[in-house]
Amino acid sequence: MSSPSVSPLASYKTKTFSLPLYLSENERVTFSEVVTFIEPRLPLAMVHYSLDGVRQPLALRIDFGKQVFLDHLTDTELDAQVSPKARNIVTYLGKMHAERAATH
Amino acid sequence: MQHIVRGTTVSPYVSLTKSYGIAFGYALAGCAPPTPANPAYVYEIEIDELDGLGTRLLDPLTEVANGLGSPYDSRPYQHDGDASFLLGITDPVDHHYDLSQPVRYAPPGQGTLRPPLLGIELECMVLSLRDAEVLAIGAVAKAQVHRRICIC
Repeated sequence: MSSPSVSPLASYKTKTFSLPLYLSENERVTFSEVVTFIEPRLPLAMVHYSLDGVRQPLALRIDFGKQVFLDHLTDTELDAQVSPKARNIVTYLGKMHAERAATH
Repeated sequence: MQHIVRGTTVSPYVSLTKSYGIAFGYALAGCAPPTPANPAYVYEIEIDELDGLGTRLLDPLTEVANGLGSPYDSRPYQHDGDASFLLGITDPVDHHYDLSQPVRYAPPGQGTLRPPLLGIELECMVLSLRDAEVLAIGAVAKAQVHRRICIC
């Protein structure tokens, strides 16, 4: 997890969380980290990922409330495998947040 | 309801919001952070039902609510969780426990351990309220774009 970064232009703060490898469960797509917005607090985040070992320049947007990716991979077969992982990422972040809240 | 709840992209609807704050949030959280070289935009749209441009607006909350059954129905849209359950729907990261808490049974309290009831109707109403959402059917015409606000 990194410290919050502040944009001087649009005035927002983000927090980045590394994602464990088991959340990917896919040979071609690997999720690396998720960028969450803490100011303003948003129910949206950016999930960075690698495709066939190459980090992609554009992240996948994820909606926490809907527990879905708002963006899709061009390979529809691969997308069908990856899309259900959005729920796992939301659950992972939720459990991590709950554990941190319990220890503070 | 699939469009709102599951983010289904194959849909005749376009999601709009009545709130600049919501639109600002969606503009921020793009596939890459907005920069001066690659800004995000919020489009302010004015749609008049009498402008003859063919765009029709729907209030998803009203549409769903009109289809709900009576309080006597055996399959209610209401949840049976605690008061904080709705927080878990809108924010399952910060309120993970509120979404996953087991349902409380009246005494003597025995019953299957399960999360509260959550139907797609309630989920749709809560999420459309979260986003101050309005649905448009048909394309939004250029003439309906009042102004474009740069977010960078």
